[in-house]
Order: sequence, then structure tokens, then C-alpha cells
Amino acid sequence: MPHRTRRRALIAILAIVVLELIAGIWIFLARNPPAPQIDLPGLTVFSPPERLPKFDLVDHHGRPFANDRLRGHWTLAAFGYTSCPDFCPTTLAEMARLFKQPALSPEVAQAARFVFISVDPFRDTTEQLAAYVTYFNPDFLGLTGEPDRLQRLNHELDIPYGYAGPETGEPIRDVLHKPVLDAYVVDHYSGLLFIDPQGRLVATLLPPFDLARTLRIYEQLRDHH
Amino acid sequence: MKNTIRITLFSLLVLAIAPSRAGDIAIEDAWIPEAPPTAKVLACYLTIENHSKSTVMLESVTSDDFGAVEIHASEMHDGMMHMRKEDHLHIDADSSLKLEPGGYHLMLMDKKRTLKAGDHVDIELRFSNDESMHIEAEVRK
Repeated sequence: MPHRTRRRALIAILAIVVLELIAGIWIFLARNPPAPQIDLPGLTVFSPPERLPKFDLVDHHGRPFANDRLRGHWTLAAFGYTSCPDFCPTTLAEMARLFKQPALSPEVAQAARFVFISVDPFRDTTEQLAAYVTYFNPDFLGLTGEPDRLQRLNHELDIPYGYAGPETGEPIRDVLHKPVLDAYVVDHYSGLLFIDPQGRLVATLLPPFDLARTLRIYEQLRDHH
Repeated sequence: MKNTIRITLFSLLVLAIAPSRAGDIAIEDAWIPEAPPTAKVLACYLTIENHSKSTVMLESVTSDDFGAVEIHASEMHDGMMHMRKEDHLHIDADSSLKLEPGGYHLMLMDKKRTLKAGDHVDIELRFSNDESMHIEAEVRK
């Protein structure tokens, strides 16, 4: 092969390789859009979204609540307990403000659910949970479950909870049995979970959950997924 | 003369702004968030002003509408929310301490009656300087 023809062939091959690379990157980016650029304190965005561990809880109507109940709509989830006088009612009141019209447009509000997961199954019966969460918004759903199921879910999400005596703050390690102490307090995860309509964890947000901040984050997460 | 009127008006204004004041301590904006009827415990938030030249401590709290009242603090560590009982609260000289959601609160336990937005709850606060005062906390939505 003459020297010039060989150089032309080489250039052609190089051009094809470069074009393929560009096409490859383009296809990759189209399939995996970059994570939304929301850089806010307390916000962690998972890109790609993380699959939630398999869980098996019960809702405040006494019906089973497993991963399939998260499909088809966005879910915002918080953890707590109904004997919590300060933090939990504040969070629920803030969520009620978020879900109240016109903060979220009717279409968006209908496409999202809020669930409050009680990690105090010994005191929070389904009846107690039902009265508690629906007071804030009739569409809110309370969840709880068998102590071992709650423990497994929190362990797999790496957000442990525990009981403690309010006087000393001494942690009670055993969450599988009701503490002997009557007025125990519950140490629990304070963040909000954003779960997409495929039931995947998109982001977590630590407080505060004031309306402007939470609404902006939710809208941005939703627009990017 | 003008000054006397000014001072009188100012004093009246101060009295109007500070509804609960006994001696060196004043309580501002005492409120209780309305809670679900089944809630076993409620929180009361307020601001304590110490106008004296020495630290005072809030030592105990009682209310006829509740079996017990405790001073509690919520704290966040590594994303975890913890709640602890405090024996007393220090209010430094010439300063104020705000009890607010996510921080300090009065934990109202064993309620004797249903409370709705607009109701008022009489609460007695006792301080280390032997001051004791009754305040009215408003239940708010």
C-alpha cells in the first residue's frame, strides 16, 4: 500500500473511533442524565436512585404495606413516634403545609403520598397511628410493623433507631422488646426520604423542612426523574 | 414634662409588649401547638427574659391541666433526633432563652382535658431566685 493511502486509511479509522466515542458518550448521557445540581446542606441525592430493601410493614388501616405500595407515585417518608411532643408533630405539620393546596398543585399533590413510619410499635397501635397522622392530613398514611421487620428495614437503610430513658439518655439497645421503663423516648432518624414512582430512594433531606425549602427540593428532584 | 410623657408612654409600651413579668423575669409568646386528640404529650414553647444582673434557673414547671410538666431538649446528632430531660434551664444575666421547635420545650404530660386552638393553659414557672409566675399559654394550630 502506498504511504499516502495508508495515512488516509489511518485518519479514516481514527475519525470513526472518535465519532463512535462521541456517540457512545451521547447515548450514555441520554440514558443516565447527570444528577440534578442541587447542592444544599442536609440534602443527599442518589444518582442513580437506590433500590430500597425489601420491607414488610403494615399501614394504619391494618393492611400490609410492602415495596409494591410505593409504585406509581412519589412518596415522602419520615420516621418517628406519636409520643414525641416536639420534633415529630413539627415535621407532620410542615408536611401538612407542603401537601395543602396551593403549595403543591392538585395534580402534583395527587401524584405524591406522605407516609409516617413509627418505630415505636409497642405504643403506636394502628388505631393510635391512624388518629395521629390523619389529624394533620386525611390522606397521610401511618406505617408500623413487627419490631424485627422495623429493625431490619432501618438497619438496611443504615438509619438505626433506639429507645432511651429520658432522665439519663442511657440507650436501651434492645428494640425487639418493649422497654420496661414506661416513659421511654425514641431516638430516631430525623430526615425525610424522597422515593420515586419506581420505589427507589432518590434523596434524603435533613431538617429544617420549611415549606419553601422542601417544595423547591421536591420539585427539582421530580423534574429530574 | 415632655420627657415624663415619653417615659410614661415607653413604660406603657413595654408593659403591653411583655405580658407576663414578675420582678426580673419576663415570659414572651408562650404557645402550645395544637396536637391530635390522641396525642399523649404536648409541647409548650416560650421565651424567658432575664433582666437581672445574675443568672437565673428555671427549676420547675406545673400546670393544673397536666399531671406532670418536664423541661426537655431535642438534639440532632448525625441525622438522629434525641430527646432528653433537663433538670433546669440556665438563663444568663441580661439575656433571653427561646424555647422553640427542635430545641428546648416544656413537655406537658398526662393531659386532663382536650385542648383545641384558641384554648389557654395556665402554667406556673418557678425560678431559682424564688420568683414564681403564672403564665397563659395559647393553643395554636
